[in-house]
Amino acid sequence: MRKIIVLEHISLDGVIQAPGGPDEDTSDGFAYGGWAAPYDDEAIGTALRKMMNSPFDLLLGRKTFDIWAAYWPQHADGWPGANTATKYVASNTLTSSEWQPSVFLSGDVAEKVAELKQQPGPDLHIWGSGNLLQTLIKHDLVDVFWLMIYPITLGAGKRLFADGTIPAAFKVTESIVGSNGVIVVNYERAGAVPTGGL
Amino acid sequence: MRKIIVSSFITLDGVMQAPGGGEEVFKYGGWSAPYFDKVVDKVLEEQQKKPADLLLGRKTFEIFASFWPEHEDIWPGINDMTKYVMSNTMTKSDWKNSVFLKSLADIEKIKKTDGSDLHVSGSGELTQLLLKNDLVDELWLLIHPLTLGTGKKLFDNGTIPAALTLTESLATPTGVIIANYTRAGEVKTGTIGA
Repeated sequence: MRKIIVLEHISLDGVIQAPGGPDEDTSDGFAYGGWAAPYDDEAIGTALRKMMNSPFDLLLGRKTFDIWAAYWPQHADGWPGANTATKYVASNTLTSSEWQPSVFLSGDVAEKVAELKQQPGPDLHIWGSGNLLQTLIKHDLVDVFWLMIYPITLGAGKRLFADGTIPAAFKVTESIVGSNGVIVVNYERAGAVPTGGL
Repeated sequence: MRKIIVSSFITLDGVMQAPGGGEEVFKYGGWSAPYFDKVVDKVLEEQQKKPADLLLGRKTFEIFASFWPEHEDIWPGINDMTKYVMSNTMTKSDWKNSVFLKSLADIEKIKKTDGSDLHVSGSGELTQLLLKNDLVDELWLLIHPLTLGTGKKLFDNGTIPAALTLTESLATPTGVIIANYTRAGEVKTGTIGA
């Protein structure tokens, strides 16, 4: 059983669009691309590298895959794992890529991902992939949210928890606070939402 | 100049509706209860001890006014605090030290006077107005480890782009991230790795 681990830079108001740079994703006129960049910090960087250097395969949406396929093959020294990991890509249009190893999932992505989780192999890490995430969240396929929560609000942009978010409880297993005000929290899926008043 | 401080229980997906249950019809009302413990209790107690007046929306005020006058032992001083209430309809209350405000300009005027900081709790609609007009100086968030998928959100449409400084943070044993932020200028951008 492989876990699905979602790793995201996220603003206080839940936006995950284009944290890395101005041109990363300008859809819907998003004007704040690169909002994560000014918050470089050693403790957060160390936590991030630990995740990036753990054994993983990648599960990506088509747009994120395209961006990565154009970048990582030439930047292997920055993150060898991106190239060696198997990239599982949700797409109804793309069926092959020169960036290997890559496997394309079409049709009922939720069902395909559920099957993938049952197979042996390392955990599946998801970065970016705003559209794919919505499908996974809606079908309760995410086991862990590893979130870097930035001390900003953006007021616009794609959100991690959009319409279709299910009621779900989580357990915090780790939290780190950077000197720059970024809080990294590891949320593990933990059953149904308990109800009942105070 | 008084600071406006919004304290809010929110979920991971940003819902702030009815964390304590009871007061409002909401399917998941009371969602914060399972995460309440001594640590949260102590933090809230410390927050309540700080000298403050209250700035409330009309609905939250009515809930407060029907409860707190008889429960000052739980929140010492609440009856003596000035309660500033934003309402288009209400002009007076039996709860002592209640002052009614009609407009954003009234809030701005109170903010400019000398006195204690103004604490906002609950008050979903008022909070939207304050956030939209960049009148919030501090956010005291208790981020609870759950998603609800429905309910009123703290950062709704009209949230402005804003940078903040994290001033205090704590993770409780039940997984609540308590994080206090102060307003700190514009959102800056760059390129990671550049």
